[in-house]
Amino acid sequence: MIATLRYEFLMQIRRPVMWIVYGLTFVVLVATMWPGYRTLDLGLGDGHDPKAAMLASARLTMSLLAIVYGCLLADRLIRDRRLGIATILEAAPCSAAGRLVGKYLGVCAATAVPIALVFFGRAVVYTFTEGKVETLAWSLAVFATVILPGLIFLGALALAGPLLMPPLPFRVLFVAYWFWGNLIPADMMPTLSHTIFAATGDYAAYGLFDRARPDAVVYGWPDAALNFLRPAATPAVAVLWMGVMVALAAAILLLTRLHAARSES
Amino acid sequence: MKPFVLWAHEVRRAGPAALAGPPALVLLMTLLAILGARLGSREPTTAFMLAGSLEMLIPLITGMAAASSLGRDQAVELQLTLPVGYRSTVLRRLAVTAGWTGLCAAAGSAVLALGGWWALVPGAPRGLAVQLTWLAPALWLAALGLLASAAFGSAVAATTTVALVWVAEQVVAGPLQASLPSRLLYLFATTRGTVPGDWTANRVVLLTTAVLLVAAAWPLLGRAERVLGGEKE
Repeated sequence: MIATLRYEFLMQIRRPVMWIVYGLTFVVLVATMWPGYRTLDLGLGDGHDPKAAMLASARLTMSLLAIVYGCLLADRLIRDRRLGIATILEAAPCSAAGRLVGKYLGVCAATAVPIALVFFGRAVVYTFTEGKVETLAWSLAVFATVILPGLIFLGALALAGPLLMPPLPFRVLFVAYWFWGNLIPADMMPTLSHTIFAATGDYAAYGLFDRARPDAVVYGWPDAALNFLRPAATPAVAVLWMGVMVALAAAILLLTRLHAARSES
Repeated sequence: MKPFVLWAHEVRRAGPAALAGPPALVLLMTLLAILGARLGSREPTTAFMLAGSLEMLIPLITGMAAASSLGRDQAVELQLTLPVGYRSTVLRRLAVTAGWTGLCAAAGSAVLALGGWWALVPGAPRGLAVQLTWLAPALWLAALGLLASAAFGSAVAATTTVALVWVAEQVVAGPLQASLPSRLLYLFATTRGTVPGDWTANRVVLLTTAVLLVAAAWPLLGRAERVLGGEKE
């Protein structure tokens, strides 16, 4: 497992295409969200508070970079079969489950590196411009609780999705899913966004860090459908959200393993 | 007979999954148009979702399909020795997927016209110009996908570029519409609104720049060394 992890990590992180696409995305992120990305103030006037600024940074970073993360992961699992090396790998003296977990951890970690670089880079810049050292501590806490659980779930989803359908429809659906299920306001149409199944980390931001909504209302959309999936954002629910993300990832990987075991026999 | 065989080959090559997507979308739109009221959706909302499917999802499909149209040729060396140029093969491939998606979009637009939904979409034009709602952004994103695919030589990078542009235009609709150049290039001017009177200009600019994007991709596609490089994994 460790060997697979190391190999997959290095293979992905040395892929020039990954850095080119992330670089382009970062340019787009800065260009399109410029005033907000400079002040890290999402209309609340709290751009000088390190905690709120880091939450805003996490939100802006994830809104676009998660797309790249998912699309870059989408071809990794089916690659072995397409290149015709799956049978050779199966002859290797290590368990198939170990290889799957190693591959998952390796490629996800490598693909998350640019996201971490962008996020922590912004935190370092903020530390210097605002002169507040506690920013770095807040950025670590926000990354671990708001961004990381979402990446754990999205990684498993993007890795396993192309097993069910060709990569092209999967990417279209993934983009549509990201927009529909995570970014749109909850009362626009029936959606998973802002629910406990959304990957944007809203529950951690509101539950653990007391982020206030722009209209200063408590977490909730009175008119939205599927509201039973949107419990009040308390610290306990935030921990539950992280658990849901990890459990979903584990379930997807388990299904992937079962799928592979079936197609082998 | 030869051209027909070539076209039939491209249809088979596109695969059932890529060809089934657009009709499935039109089917969903029809269901929504019929059952929307029963599901509790208000009429303007239903009209917005129907027009949105045409203006947002159809371009996403054509863009992603164009972005992954290169780099999957098994024996590209052989193909380059044939009298048929590689560029015309690529264009034929694009014409198949984009043409099929366009046909489905026209059917979807007919659904909206039959139900009288276009009248409920603010900013939608009257008459034939209504087809530009989906045609202009679909061609633009397809041209972008082709250029990205030719420039990067990788389906992953190209599809991600298209996806990124699509999501970015959705997320930052407000700021993009604030200045004139980005407003004229904005993809979703019908459903997300634009300045009155700018709609036609926006569509014309999108179609013109789509031609420019294809023109930029043209020399890249003509270089055999780039094509031979294959997909960079």
